[in-house]
Amino acid sequence: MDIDVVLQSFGLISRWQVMLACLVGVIWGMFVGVTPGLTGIMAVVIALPFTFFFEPQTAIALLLGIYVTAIYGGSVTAIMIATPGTPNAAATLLDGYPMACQGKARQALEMALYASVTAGVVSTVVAMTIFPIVATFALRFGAPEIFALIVFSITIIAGVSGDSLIKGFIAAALGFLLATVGQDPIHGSSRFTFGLHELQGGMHILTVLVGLFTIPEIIVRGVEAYRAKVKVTVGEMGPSLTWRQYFRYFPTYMRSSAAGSLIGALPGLGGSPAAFLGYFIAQRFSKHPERFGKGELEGVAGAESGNNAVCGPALVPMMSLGIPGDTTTAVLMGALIVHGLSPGPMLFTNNPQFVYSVFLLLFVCLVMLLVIGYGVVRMARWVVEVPTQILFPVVLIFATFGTYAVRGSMIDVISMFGVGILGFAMRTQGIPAAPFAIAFILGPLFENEFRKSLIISQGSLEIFVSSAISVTFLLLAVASAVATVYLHWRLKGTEGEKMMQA
Amino acid sequence: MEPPFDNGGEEPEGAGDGGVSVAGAPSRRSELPPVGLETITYRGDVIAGAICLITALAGYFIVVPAWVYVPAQFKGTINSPALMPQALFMLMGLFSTVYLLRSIDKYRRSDRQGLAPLSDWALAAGTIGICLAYLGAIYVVGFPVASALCLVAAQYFFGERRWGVILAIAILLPGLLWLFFVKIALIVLPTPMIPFLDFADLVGALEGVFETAAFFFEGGFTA
Amino acid sequence: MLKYFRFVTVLAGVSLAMAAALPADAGEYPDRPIKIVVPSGAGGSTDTAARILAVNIYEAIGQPVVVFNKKGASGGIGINYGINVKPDGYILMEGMIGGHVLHPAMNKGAGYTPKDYTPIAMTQMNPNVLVVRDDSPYKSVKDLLAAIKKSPGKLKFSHAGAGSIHFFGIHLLLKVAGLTKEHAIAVPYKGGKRSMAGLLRGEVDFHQTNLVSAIDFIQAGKVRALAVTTKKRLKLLPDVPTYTEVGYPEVDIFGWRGIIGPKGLPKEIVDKWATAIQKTMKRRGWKKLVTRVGDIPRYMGPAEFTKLIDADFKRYRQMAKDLGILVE
Repeated sequence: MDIDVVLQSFGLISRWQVMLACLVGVIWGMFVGVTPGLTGIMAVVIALPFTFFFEPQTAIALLLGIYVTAIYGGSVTAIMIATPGTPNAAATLLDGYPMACQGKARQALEMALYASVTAGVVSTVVAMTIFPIVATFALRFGAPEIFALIVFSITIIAGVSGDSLIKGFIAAALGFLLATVGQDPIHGSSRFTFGLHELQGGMHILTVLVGLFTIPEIIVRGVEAYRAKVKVTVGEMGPSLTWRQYFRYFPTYMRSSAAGSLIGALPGLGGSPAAFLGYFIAQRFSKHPERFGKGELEGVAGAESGNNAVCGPALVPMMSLGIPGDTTTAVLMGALIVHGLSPGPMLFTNNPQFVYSVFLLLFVCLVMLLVIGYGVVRMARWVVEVPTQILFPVVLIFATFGTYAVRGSMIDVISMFGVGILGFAMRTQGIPAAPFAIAFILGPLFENEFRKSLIISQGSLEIFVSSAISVTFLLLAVASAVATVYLHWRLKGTEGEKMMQA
Repeated sequence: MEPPFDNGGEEPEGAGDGGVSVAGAPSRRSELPPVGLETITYRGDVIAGAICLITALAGYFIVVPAWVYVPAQFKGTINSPALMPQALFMLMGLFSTVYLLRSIDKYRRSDRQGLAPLSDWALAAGTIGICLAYLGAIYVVGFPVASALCLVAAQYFFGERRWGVILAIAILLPGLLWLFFVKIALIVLPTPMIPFLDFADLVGALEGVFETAAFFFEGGFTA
Repeated sequence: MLKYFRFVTVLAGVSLAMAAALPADAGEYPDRPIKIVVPSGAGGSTDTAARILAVNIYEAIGQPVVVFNKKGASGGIGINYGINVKPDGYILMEGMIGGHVLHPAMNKGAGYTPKDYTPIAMTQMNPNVLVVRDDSPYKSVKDLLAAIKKSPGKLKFSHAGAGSIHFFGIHLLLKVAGLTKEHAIAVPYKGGKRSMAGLLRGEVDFHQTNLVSAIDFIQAGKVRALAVTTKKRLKLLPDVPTYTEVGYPEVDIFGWRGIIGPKGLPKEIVDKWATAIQKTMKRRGWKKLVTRVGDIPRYMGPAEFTKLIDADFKRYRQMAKDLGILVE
């Protein structure tokens, strides 16, 4: 990192227009993030045409503000009303929503905010200092390497999820099966589309998440509210997060940020796997893994560090190779191209100031997120005072509008209710929803990279052990699987009995 | 009339041991008894296991052959699009067999506790019914009107009885969502079977009123 | 209660204010904003093309034009939606060769053929370029084809999914060179940019893509261009021969984008749009942005555009049949 260049790039962004654009982006991103169904990508797309008329720095400031904030914004609804505002927030929901139900919403929201900002800063620093290394590093991840990484992630996630291992496996198989609906990733032939064109595009992740988490919650709360026959509210936001609580989880932020940064630097994985990986890594290292899923602060910390750590590193392959890490960075890239700053190998050579100014803008956005986010935490108290019998019908309408809005397709709404009924059935028998969601997210990546590797190697399995990176991850996967077995063996007799039971 | 949103003041104090509070009904969610539907029972496990096993078998033998298109040259190869679904149904069959056998065993040795009370299931079915009716209504009367109807039905079913509150929310919320999604986020809503109820017309009429008002306000025909 | 009332009043006020802010004049087409469906993801080149047109065409068409995305199934989802809307000219599509021609040409189950939509006008095109890695031993198209012929089933190429322009382009080359599809192995990637990454990473040996995705890597010396699909050499790449020069003039595949309406769109609306597009394309703002994203402005009117699409569709359908990749 050349200090002179960084100082020059300060000059590029220290203008009021750029700061204003940042602020507008952060506010708009927050608004969209907390509205279920409006994803970060839509927010960026709506703002995109305006940026055609801006200076490049101003344009990118606006879009970055949205990009960073929408990831956090989604967790507000996940915590307050069990509806992930964006797909990235699903892992936050696992512990955040139970915390809100226990009257600790404020702690959950603040932890989500502080963990997001911490992870954002850490990952951006990483991305900025080792920019050229990350760029070549990303290029070394081909299909077999990504496959190995996914296998490793699965071994991290499996085994610690849920009370019963066998129920978790059934849920994962169901989730993976649901992900195979649509076009086959390799040949393009249709699978389980039942002759409907609308299903060719497959199930949207937000449809599945809302169906899986929100609809069962509405059904169960409905039963409760009907029987209670009075106004039932969560009632209070609970105490604020203390500094001690924040600093206690510092290692968690670091570990989950590291996982999130790795996922972010690799094109094509995106924020949701990062969030889940961050969450389960936090559980792996936690002193109380059995408390996860029941309202554990550390779970929120892990999930939010994981998904926000994606931001900075995701910009690296986009700017250095012209390969966007996820759909939102693809739009950012489109904006750069329109401004004549074609991302690719030439961008850093020709215009290093611009590259660094983008990272500096990320810091600015994170600071603004901290301020605006704090305001949103305070506003969230409106939600806890709404009685159940009003809140959950309203959530139902939001979920339906939101699901439709994602792709403008009724088939998504139908699927959402279908998955919702399935999710409710699963919930009544304690079949966990998290493995279902994770399998839905990781399943297609697993299949795609596996089959692509075999096409490249023309059927030979040797390709999976032909590079140092994939061997490393496969060995780590074996180690992690062994550790899982050990964990269960150690817990046997105490919590283990409960975890192993069918 | 009591404040509909804010009931922080009348919080029953000292409902300590998680039970129902002294003042009668509880008002905090955490103080309610757990919903019976979420109590896991061995009988339920047996039923769930059986359903999973049947799904897996049906999937493997009926759904995959019928609904996964496999190009001729990939039949039976590792590159077949059907490979992953088949493997998954097979795994699911395996898991659910283990699950079923274990649950049967546990059920035999347990005190054979039953399922949740029937009334709980009926209530859950009620909410699911509202959801499905809402889905149907979207096709017939369009998103905004269906949402308003759903809000009325669901709030009433969930136990809200103040009609002022029910109607205010049922009218304002779909209206706001419509404005936001259709006019700002530019989502195209599906055309309902009864197009008159399409919100566009309603708002169109409203717009007309405002246009006219603005016209006169700005000085009428002189401009 | 008071607090609650105030909340309701504010909500009502906001909704009315928003309603009042909307324009509402009835009369001649178009009397309200027009929407353009982009059948691919936001941020992609088709999407950017649509957005550039949308921000520039306001003056010529007299109403705001807004863009929304419906991606999936190689464009099939968005196009199936776009062809079935009411043909009143308020919902149109951004046309792209992949979704509008290649996908239905390869998939009988796509749900549409060019007969099901009304081409209005082409706005820009993008030639394709055949590239290999910089350290690759193949210096020309001839070298590459000779190597493929010598060891069939060894060399691999990357593409953005069966039915994409990357996929058809290479198959077209193989076909005119007298080779079969078994001669080279097709490795699918998610999108054109990732298939380029596959080439850079060394997972595949060659790749044919649109100029805009390749130009940066060519200039940075990471990949070498072997041929371009235009009739004349490109100004950007003066040293790269055209396919005509190397003896395969049939490989003239190029990407195009334009505006396409639903089936049964009235002729007045088609003409109105064609004129508006022609007018917009003269604007400096439009030209500047389009050139920046790497496309070549090129106007084609409704009749000519329809002819091009029909001819392309016939040709690629036949090719899909010959190659045995037609999905029934």
